[in-house]
Amino acid sequence: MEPFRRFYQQYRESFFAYLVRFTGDCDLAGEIMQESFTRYLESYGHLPPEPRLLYAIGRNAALDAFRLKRKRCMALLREETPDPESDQEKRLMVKQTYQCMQRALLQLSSGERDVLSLVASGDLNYREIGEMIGITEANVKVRVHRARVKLKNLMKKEQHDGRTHQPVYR
Amino acid sequence: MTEELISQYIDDALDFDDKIVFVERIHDSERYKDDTVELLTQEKALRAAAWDYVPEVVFPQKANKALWMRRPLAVAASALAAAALMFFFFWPPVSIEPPDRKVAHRFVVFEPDVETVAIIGTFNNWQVLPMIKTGREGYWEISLELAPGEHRYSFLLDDSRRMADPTVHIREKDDFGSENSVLEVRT
Repeated sequence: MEPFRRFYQQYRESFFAYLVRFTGDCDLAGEIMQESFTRYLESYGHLPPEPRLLYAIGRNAALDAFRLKRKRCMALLREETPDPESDQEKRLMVKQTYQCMQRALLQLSSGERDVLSLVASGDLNYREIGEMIGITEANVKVRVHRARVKLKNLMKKEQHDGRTHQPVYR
Repeated sequence: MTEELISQYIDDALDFDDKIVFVERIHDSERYKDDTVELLTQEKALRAAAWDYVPEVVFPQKANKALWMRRPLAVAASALAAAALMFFFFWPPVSIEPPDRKVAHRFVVFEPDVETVAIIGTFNNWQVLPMIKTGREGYWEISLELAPGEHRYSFLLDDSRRMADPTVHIREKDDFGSENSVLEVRT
């Protein structure tokens, strides 16, 4: 159990960050993290720590969630008013300074966001990401760079538009 | 094509030749340098901690303590009474059914380019069992006593890569993309 505990502590934050970037939904990311670590422990907890498997489980769960449309990954783009009744302290909120970035992220295509979120986790290399999403390492290089350049342009647009709305992350 | 070197630089994925090209481009082109700095700054922001806190995962608790641990005296008294009953009703002692007869099975795999091979499967609760290298050809083997029935297993190469048994055609994918071989053991 001890190696798994260390594994959990080591990857908890970066894995959660990956899930939020990919889904754009903090609550959904929390649910998927809970499910992923639990399933990883059940199936692979006895094996040497392997972050690729954890990310594969999390990514599959996120894709399932998108497919089933249980949660809409584009929730960020919806204009919503925060619920005054909710417990603000316990809410999973993206920091204000990051919201522009998150809005821009969600305007990438799902393929671009997929690869960029995995790379930004810092836990996987290009080869591992290519194997996970079924493209070559060379394609990962191309796709991740395109995604970064596109994100840069989207960020500029976001800042230029001066959007001030504060979406709710559900 | 050298544009993508910026991302490879950000991700520490440049080899030596690429590093040379990258450094030369940085020196040759002010625009290329500015793009690199811009994307580096963006990546720093992208990877910054953007959430006030990260939720903790609640792992399922192991099964509750067994009854004998919670109420040892009551369980001991019940066990004693049951044993006494058994003694009077079934004396002389009844014969005990022999356990399922196990069958020896030898697993062999040819993997000449790895340092270690182990086997994991349902028969040992997915615990890692190292296989033994036989000779210099690259064959690894292990003999196990298996209960009759269906078993799922795979090989673990170099403590990291899983591989189904190439000699067994029946395979089954698990939920995580790995493939297990399916072996039926008959008495």
